[in-house]
Amino acid sequence: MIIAAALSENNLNSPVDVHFSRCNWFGIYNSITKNLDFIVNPGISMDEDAGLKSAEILVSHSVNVAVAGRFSAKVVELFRKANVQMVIPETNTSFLEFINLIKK
Amino acid sequence: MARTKKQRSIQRAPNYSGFKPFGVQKPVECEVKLSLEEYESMKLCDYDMLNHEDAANMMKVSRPTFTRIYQSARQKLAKALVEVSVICIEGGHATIDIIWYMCAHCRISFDISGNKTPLCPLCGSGNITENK
Ligand SMILES: [Zn+2]
Repeated sequence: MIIAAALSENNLNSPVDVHFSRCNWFGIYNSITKNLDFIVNPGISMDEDAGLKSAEILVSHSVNVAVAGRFSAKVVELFRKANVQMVIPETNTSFLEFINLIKK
Repeated sequence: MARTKKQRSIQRAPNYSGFKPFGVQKPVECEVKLSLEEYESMKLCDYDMLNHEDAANMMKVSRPTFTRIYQSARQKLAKALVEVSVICIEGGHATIDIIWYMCAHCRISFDISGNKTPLCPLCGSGNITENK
């Protein structure tokens, strides 16, 4: 499973960002290889359709699960078409805490 | 002949039922009722930053209908701010497009696409509830 979480900072202790389209970073974690990567949100500098650009990039990274506090309507539409599952954790859950929830 | 109200599609109902003004002396008497579709129209336009055409498509309504819903939402919110009203969010004629499920163990909400059996994507538990 490849997970992409919207984050405010590029480290494991960063809380999951409340809004998918407006986060600074995405943390990408592969639960099989345990590989971890941080990428700058490619949509952050765009005004319109910011989330769409970000969602497309994550789909191109073969992400299966997207994690954020909220997803905009267009992002929901795109992810559902691309079969990317959306997950909303409790407020202030850190990326590390989230990863630790995955069944070993 | 009375027009039947059509169902409008919204993505997620808010998880609270309204707002109360604070710092007022007397108890607030007046109340503004915002429908779910009015809430959604503001969310799509002013939070998700969609244009009216895209927002209308999202809600599966015509462009003029969308504009009417959105105008009504703005007027109600302005009235609530100026006249110090409680804002209640109520059902209206909206259907929720996506079912969000909750896993009590992991404390997450998640969606399921297709006809898959709903299981928690993190712990694999089937002990989950629908979150409306
Ligand atoms: Zn779970």
